[in-house]
Amino acid sequence: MAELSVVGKSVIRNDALDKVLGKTRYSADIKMPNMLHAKVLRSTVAHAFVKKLDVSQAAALPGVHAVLTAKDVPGLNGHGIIFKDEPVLISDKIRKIGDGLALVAAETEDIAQQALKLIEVELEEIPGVFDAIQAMDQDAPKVHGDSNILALRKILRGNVDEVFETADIVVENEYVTQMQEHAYIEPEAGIAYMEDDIVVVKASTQNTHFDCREIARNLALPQSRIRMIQAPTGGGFGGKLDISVQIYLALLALNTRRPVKLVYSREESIITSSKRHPCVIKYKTAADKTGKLLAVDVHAVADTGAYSSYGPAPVTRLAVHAAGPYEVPNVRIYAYTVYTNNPTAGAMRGFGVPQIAFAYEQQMDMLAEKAGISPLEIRLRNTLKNGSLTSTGQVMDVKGNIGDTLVPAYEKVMANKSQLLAPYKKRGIGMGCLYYGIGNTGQPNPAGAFLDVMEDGSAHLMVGAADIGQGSNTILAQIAAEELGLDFNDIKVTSADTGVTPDGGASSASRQTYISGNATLKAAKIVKEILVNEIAAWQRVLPEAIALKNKYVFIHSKQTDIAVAQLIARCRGKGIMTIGHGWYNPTTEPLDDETGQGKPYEVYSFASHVAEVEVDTQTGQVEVVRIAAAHDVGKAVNPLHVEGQIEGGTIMGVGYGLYEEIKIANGNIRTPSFATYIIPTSMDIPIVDTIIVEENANTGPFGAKGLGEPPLVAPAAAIANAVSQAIGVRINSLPLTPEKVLKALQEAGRI
Amino acid sequence: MPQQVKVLKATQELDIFSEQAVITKLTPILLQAAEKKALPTLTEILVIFAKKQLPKAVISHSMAVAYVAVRIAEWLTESSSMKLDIPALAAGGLLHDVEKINSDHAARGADFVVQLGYFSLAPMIATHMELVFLQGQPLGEAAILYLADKICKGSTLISLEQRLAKSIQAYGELFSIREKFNTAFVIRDSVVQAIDDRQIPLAEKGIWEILINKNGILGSENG
Repeated sequence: MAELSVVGKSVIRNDALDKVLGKTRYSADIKMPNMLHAKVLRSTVAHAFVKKLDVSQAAALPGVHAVLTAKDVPGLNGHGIIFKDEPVLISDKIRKIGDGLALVAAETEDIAQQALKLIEVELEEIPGVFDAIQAMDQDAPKVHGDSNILALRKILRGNVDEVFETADIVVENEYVTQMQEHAYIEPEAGIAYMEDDIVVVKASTQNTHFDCREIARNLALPQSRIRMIQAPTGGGFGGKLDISVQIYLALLALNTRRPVKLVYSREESIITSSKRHPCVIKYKTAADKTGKLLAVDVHAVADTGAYSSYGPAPVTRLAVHAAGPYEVPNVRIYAYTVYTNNPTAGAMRGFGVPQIAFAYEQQMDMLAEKAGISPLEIRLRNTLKNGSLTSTGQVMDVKGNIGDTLVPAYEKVMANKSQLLAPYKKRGIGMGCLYYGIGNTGQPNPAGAFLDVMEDGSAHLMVGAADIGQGSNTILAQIAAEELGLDFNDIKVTSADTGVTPDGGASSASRQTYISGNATLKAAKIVKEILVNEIAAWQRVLPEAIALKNKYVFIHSKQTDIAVAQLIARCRGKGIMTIGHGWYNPTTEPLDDETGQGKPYEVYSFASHVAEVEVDTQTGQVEVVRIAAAHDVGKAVNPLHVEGQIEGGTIMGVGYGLYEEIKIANGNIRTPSFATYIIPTSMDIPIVDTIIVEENANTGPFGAKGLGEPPLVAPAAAIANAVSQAIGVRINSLPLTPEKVLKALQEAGRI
Repeated sequence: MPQQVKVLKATQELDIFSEQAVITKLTPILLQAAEKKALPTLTEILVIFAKKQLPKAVISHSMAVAYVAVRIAEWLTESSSMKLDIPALAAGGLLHDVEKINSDHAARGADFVVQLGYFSLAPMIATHMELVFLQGQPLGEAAILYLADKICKGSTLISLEQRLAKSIQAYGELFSIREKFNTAFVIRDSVVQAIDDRQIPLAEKGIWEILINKNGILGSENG
């Protein structure tokens, strides 16, 4: 490939300066004349029938302009990413704490809050179900319909039972993972207003086009009458894929004909937003005496809470990735998604894979021990490589294998291996590897791009992809600039605005660089072809001889004095429009309902993390000293962004491994603040060595794959393996708290 | 000339006395004061309105009176060294007719705020129908509330002259009417003397012009 001038460079994102100066105006900062403030009346019980809901007193409170209940929802009273099973406002049955019962819009937040208190509610509480395994019982209270089992994803290949009968080595364990909160800095917030007969909603979101479809359905308006715009978003991590404030705001703006703002408190955010599925995973692995994997038998139950949200999708992804980045000829995977009256679990960075990686990577270490080989050796011996079959029967089309990331990460940590400080402190090294499918699992998930290239050599790129901080606006501008031979700064990106941009799908599944990147590239290629044909005809050369680079036209690799801008102006002057559009949908095959066989993803990213931990055997405290994170990203379109993603995801993974846990009692979150829900702070962050591996994907824009989620998948697994090496005891439940470490040490008789 | 008054009235009703404008103006005043002394916040007052099921007309009148009283008090404190309890005036203005649906509403209203522990509001509410105010007497919250109540007919601004003429038209030449208005005229003279009208922001000139009856008695009725 010819040398690139914009792609592969660490250009500085356009929103960086405003963000570090605190000038970015997030939804909560937006003020409009005549603006009303909204509040939501929420359930404080987990399971109940609504007997009475009287809002008359609240409506009579001066300063109150609307009090809405379920009967004020003109269209379908339901929303949800996969199933529309979550009411906009509850009319009959409450299924979780935080369910919305009524909306108020008032002159001030205080008045709105008072109005909530004037609403009379009478409930009939009914027994709830708060444990996913119990919820699968036929006699358990039902959350929806007549079964709590929302979905079962099976993946079946080969003959598992036969293998287990004869295998040399069998390792069997049960793993328990916790519920995790996204903990984005910006809680859910937004503002809505009427612009003529169009309802405009501006909110913190990861998918404007989904929001628009939901709002239109609930308001019984055409999608063209809803304009959903993404406000600058302070993180999402999957938690802003679900509807939060959007429908509420649209209803209130339509009702009051005034601008309405709704900002969740941190507590409201933690109580209402979706979470990472807590899972119970029974994992059984068979290997021959050399450590070669023969079979896995996995039974996973994921608590999806009261509503489906993305529910079955992360659990499907969990199942697809359950064998890890290894060749396993026989697999039997059962993964259940189960309703309970707990907080809803949905999408969160990693989408089910961090849970299963915690299991499969500890299995690998235990197998290695039994086979008498090193953890490094067993992974290299079993890695997926070109031509390997995955659990779903997909033939891997890759250049390298897990060693390309594992070996450099391992060497980095070993080279820096530190000395022990005190006799009661133990150190250990552990590893975690993964492969990760880019895009939605076996589903169409296209993205589009519009490109308007103007005669002064600047261009306007319109993409549906929401930049929630991950930097897609920068990456996509780099791709367009590279293809057109323009500078990064020549491309102005408008993103995630249903009034302007085509659908980009969700900013999730690590998909935007790859899918919106490909769409952008297609749009740019269309314009480039127009330009190249024009110059070819003008200069009497073949189109193949022409390149656009560094703002100039090159003919036969020689720079001419014709600027790209001049060429665009020539086209425009002749009435030839230099506009392009493109869309891309990765080629996948849906998974078979019964066997789970299919081609779930077009491309996979590979990664390995190696962690060194220090365990204080007196307090049980685990400290991550260093973590090397090596990621094969295909092509790092912006290496600085890649580093940022790796560091951020790794730190989030350390939080998942050591500190973070949403504690629930009878559906009630006991950790609804950052005083009780502990995330890593700058003091807890280890040395993170980021290692970028580039094995270009033929199908990606300039070879790029995806990166958003993989960095969070492996840290918890690597830490668990490192802790085990340090203290000689395994802990099969997340997070690895001091209490669990001490208990494990006591049980093993080591203290 | 008379035409202008009508226009002015219309805009004032729309802009100055909109519920939104009153809430925006009075919320911070009361919120800050409620932290330091026994005063209700605006939201608490609105809850009282809702629980008492006060008619809408009474609520909008109370809001208008509170708003005008606060404005006049602000002009006074900005023009002179006079000290006035503006938050109390805001709350008193909002609550002065809280017992309007009952007879003897001024006294009952005072009792009501005492029960809630808002002692500073009682005197001005008790005297808002009958106040003794002599020429030269220093201006206080009660006097300002009295005057504001008289120049707000419902939630519409009206000059004392015009309102007097209307009362006489409706009820005839009664001594009690003259007397009530005399108190208001004396207060107004004190207020007008104490205020430097150059200090009044342009947006608030409308209230001032009605207060001083700039457009002349009976103006709008003949227009």
